Amino acid sequence: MRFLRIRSLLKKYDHLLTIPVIIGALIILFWVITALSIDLWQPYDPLEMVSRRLQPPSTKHLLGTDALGRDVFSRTLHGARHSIPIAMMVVISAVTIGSLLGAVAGYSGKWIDGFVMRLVDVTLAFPPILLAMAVAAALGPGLRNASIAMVVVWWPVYARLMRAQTLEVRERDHVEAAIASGVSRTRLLFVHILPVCWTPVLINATMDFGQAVLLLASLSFIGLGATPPTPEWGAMISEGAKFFYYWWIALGPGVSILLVVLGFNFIGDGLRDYFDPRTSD
Amino acid sequence: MKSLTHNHFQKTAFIIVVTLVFATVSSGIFSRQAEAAKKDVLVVARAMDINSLDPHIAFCDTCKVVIGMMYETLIKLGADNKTILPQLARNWEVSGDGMTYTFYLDEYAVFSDGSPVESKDVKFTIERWQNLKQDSSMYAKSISKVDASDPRKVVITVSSWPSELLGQLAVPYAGIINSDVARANGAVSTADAPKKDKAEAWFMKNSVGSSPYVLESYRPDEEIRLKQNPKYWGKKPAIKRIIIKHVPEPVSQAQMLESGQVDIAMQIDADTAKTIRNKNVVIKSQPSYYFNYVALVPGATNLEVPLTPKVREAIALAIDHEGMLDVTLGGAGRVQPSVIPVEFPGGGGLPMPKQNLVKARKLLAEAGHPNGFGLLAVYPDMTSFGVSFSVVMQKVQQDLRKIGIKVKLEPVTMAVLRSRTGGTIPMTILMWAADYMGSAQYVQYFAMVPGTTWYYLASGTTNDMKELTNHREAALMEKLQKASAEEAEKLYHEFAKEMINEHVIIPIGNPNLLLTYRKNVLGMRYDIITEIPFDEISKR
Amino acid sequence: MLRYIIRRLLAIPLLVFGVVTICFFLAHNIKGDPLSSLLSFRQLGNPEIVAATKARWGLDKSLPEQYFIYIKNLLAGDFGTSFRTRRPVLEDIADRLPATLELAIVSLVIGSLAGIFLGMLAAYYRNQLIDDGARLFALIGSSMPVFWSGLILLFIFSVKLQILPGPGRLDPVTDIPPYVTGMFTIDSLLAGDIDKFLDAVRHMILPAFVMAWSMMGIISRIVRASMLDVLNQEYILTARSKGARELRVIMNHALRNVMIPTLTIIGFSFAYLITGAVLVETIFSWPGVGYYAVSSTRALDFPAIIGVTIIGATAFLVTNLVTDISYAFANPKIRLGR
Repeated sequence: MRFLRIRSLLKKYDHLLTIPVIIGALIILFWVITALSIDLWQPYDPLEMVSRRLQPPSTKHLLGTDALGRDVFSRTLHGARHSIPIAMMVVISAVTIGSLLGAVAGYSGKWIDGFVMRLVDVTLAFPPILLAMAVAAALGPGLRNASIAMVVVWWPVYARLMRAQTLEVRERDHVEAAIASGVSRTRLLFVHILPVCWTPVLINATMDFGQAVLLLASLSFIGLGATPPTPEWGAMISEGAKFFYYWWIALGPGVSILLVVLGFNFIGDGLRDYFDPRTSD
Repeated sequence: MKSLTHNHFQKTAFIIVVTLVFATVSSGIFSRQAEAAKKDVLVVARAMDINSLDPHIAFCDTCKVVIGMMYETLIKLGADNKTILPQLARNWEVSGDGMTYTFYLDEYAVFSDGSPVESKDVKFTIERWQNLKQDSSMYAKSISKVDASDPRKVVITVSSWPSELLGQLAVPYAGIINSDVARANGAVSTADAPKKDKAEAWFMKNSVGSSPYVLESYRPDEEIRLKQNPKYWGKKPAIKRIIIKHVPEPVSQAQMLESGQVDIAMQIDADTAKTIRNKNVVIKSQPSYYFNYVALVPGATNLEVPLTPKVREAIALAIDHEGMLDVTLGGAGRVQPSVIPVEFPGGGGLPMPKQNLVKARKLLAEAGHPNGFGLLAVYPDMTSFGVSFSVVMQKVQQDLRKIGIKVKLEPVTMAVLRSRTGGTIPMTILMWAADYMGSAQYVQYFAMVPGTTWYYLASGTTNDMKELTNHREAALMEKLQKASAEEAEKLYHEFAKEMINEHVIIPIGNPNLLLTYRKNVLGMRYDIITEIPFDEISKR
Repeated sequence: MLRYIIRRLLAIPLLVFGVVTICFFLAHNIKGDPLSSLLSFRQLGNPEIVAATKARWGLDKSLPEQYFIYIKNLLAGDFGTSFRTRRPVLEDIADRLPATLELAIVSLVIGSLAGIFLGMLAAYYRNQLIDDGARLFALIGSSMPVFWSGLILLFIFSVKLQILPGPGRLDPVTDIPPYVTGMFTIDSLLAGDIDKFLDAVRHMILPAFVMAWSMMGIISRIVRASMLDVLNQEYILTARSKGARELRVIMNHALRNVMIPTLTIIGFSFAYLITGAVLVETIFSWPGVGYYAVSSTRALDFPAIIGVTIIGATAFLVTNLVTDISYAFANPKIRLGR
């Protein structure tokens, strides 16, 4: 009986669970598990000098050692502990702040709408990386400040998205009925509007998880995100650039970023195809 | 139906592939496999850190190289980096009390525009240097008067440190500029220079010295080009053009050197040098005059435990200097006992530091910390003269752990470090490159006497810390201000001993200098002032 | 329509003003002392030198005063002087702009052509291996950190295989071509120097490819979707049934309809180009505005950082406006504005 139920469940989501989506999910699952558990099974301490510097990959050090004699493989795996939670936190914060502001702007009209949208416009006037650089430079280096910079860069996209959705949904019957029956603003927002608008937000957010990992790595690469000796992927690639003759230093972190972003892209694409079959095959 | 579009795509793909291959191959055919550059052009790879090309505002390592090539000083250092030789001044006299110098200018000396070098140019130069009050002006501080009444003779009077004047006048920043041309372009030498002088921008595009080279072009972050001065009054050098390319990474520099794209690479470190396989590259290792040092800051506000003299001595005794050299330089360097380099006045014959863990632990116990304590180290995450500061700090961390001190490392960028000198850095590591042959620079910078830079920094930027002030050093400084060269040498020696026993500044290694260049480059040597005197170089 | 354009145009100066204010606030609210970017360690403790430097740079005035002076200068076209290069920021940027533009244009062309080609390929061979392959290739390009792909390719082609040159725009010994546009490819052609032209092209191959690759993902996806849309439509089916030549069908109908959303996507790619410029220029030591932005950020050179951000934002706004307008023009069904 249970077997049949699982089968029918799988069938229901058949369109969603395509091969790319499954691969993507597996990749992300791997990294999340790694991020959570790496402390238990790390080959070496990522911050300790364990061997001679700049050694090529060997059986002892799968990805060799870096300029300070640390095991690159361990550091690569540890990178997930920083990149993935931060990326998720940043996107979720941006989504939350942006969606709330956007929805509020959408149905409040005039004043608030105008103010929020002006704020959105000014923020979106900046090329994203320059804004992130300027904010991160002003706040100082560090993962925390880089996260703040990224949230500042991202919230307007969701504000706009949510606002457009809200404006459209506002016209719908059940909402008009709710307004007519004098439902409170908060209830209106949380019960009637937001639940209907979440699909594009979800798709966008999934893709943005990957972009967040990329942006964090970019900021760290420039020197604004992770401070040494933190084993963050972007920072490791920066070090690898200084020693690019020793190619193994940058290999691990680069491949990791690629896999994570691909994973999120696959899932996001799958979600988009599932919710909006027009754009699929 | 399908066949037609199938062909269409196939055709497009084919065209694209062919174009790509053609582009790559043709560029391969026409490529100038990096051939040896012409014999009279010198191409140099260097990580440029130029902050200005105005001789009285510039202050950086690359500046010394470049400004040293574009401007000539009154006197210069010989190849032994010690003997003073004539340059713009063909001879000079010193008064009996040692405080007045008379320089006789060479009558053949002319600037790049043909006009003669006269005493008024020297006066203008020195006064502008002093009055702009920029970084390098500290080397002109002791000059109290410049008399240019006779166009062929300059009389310079100093108010202090008479033994240093000749050394300081050889610094590139003392290069004599053409006062007429400079004035015409906004240069001002009087006391209101900081507000009135507008010539810096012009200096970024033009040079007005008397040396064999003039500025051809400068593109920040890219390159700087010097070309021959056709009116040069001395022996014309073999190299007619110098191109210094900005190459930030030692690995890239090594690559360009091996492939022959550059003739000289200036910042290759020991590790990278090991990877060079090309037989046409010469690597020469020799002692240098720069050193890296660990600094303890007793005046920091975030200390777990006060850095009293006993505690500082314990820390100094725990450091394994030989091991440090091994780990950071692979042994290619020397242990330097004090801040004064061994070859400098007063730097020789000093007791070498030796690790003594037993005594260190005893001192700590006496100071009331038998179980050690925590110590924060905020330091620039960079490589200086081939030494990675992070590697150094890790070794220091390991050494101090043996006596119970737990060091927490906080690497930051140089820019961030400078902005944090508000007393929140208990320990750090920095470097010093000698600007000229003379020991006053060390006293003026490192002495624990109010008024010096390190007193200011070590006191937590309060400039007022009684227990830090070293009165013996203050007394030595007073004497040095009036001492002759022979007297000064003894006084510097005493000073060095005081600094060693203070344990505030702990030198941790004097790296060897690596000269890395192509085999066909002749005349390479290390010069304190300009690093590499390009005017002595020729190519086979 | 016209009202929309005018409204957007008028909004630009206001938005730039907002950008400027935010930047100024950011720059002067930092924990560090700007003086530390101007003076070396040795002089920070010397009150005379500190005072002289403050006077030279106008840092001895109050913050609101500095703000008004900054705005006043900005209106006159003076973006301040860089702490690091000691030259006017505007001059610094103008010097480097041609390098960035040259790379950006070439990358855009390659990326667009390749993206369109891949999209068309994927749409035509829908669901077959070629479709998956093309899409995967494009997706990988967009998912890789662009500074990493640059590094890897540089290592493979320049260090190991030695068939492409290392970082930089020209070989070290080569003189730059006589200045006409500042873009070495054009200038060397105009001067008739084929060797130099090829040298400049060779140096552009890797960075342009890396930047183009990062854009192919989104471009090919849109092209593919639009093509699929179009290929399914009724009138295409009728055109085919009438026996019109396949080629003409595709070229005339499909491509034209695909062009419009593609052009707008190319417009939106501007953000990718700026991001790419910053990161790729750093890896390849390409002396453009992106490299300048990174060097300035590392050195905490705030006049430069603000200058680049303001100019970048203005360019960004203008490009967005042009893209939005052309999109609206092409597709009048889209509701403009709010």
